[in-house]
Amino acid sequence: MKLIRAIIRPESTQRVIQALEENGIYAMTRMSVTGRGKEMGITQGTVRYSEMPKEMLMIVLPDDAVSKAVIVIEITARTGTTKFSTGNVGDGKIFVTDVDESYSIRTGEKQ
Amino acid sequence: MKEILAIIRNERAEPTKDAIDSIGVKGVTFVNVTGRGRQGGTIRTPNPEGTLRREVSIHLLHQRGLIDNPEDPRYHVPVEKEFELGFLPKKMLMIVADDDQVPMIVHTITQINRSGHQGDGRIFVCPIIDAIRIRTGERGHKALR
Repeated sequence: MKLIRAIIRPESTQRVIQALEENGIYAMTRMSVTGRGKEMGITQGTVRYSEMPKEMLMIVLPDDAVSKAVIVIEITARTGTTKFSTGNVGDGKIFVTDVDESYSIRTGEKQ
Repeated sequence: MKEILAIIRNERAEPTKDAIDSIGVKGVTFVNVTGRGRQGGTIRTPNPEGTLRREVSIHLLHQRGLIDNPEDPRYHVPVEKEFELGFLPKKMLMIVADDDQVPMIVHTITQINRSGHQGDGRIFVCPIIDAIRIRTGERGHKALR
């Protein structure tokens, strides 16, 4: 099992969730976070914004479903007008980490 | 070292905190999150309104002589109602603990949070490579104590 953490733009969240739903992925946790990337925020005129609001999605999936989910998130969270757009700075990142065990609290079962 | 991510109901956060304290685990991080499970945020419950309305209409039909037996069970099927709830507010616990403590923590969280209904939450156990205490710079197991 793997844990996918996708840090995406708040305005693309709805689009990503819808795309995941269409691919049969319903279970997820989301939280609003702030952060910055290697560009250290953005500068607008004389004002420097060092932290930008983002949305983080956490999804746990079996190993074989991970690559598909990552591609779905990647394509839908990338900004731009065309499907083959190269995107913009600040579109976000996706991290995939291991999950050893998963338990459902209701039944106590290990899954 | 393992990281335990537990997603639980908001109102069970305080009892969980006490229970985790009592087994000797002090370091816990709580995060307010929203989420949904396998059902995609839909809940199905029997709709009492629906059955009532149906019963009334059955009696009306019976009075007018359109049906013979109003007690026939096929006229009394409970109507199910589907609620679209979407993302629900939850609390997420993050605990980093030594490997041997993990089963006990998982057991405690499960016991405290189980109500037997959908939405009780889930626990994930992930591997952690290193931990560092910022104040002293201690690493690994020492940083947890």
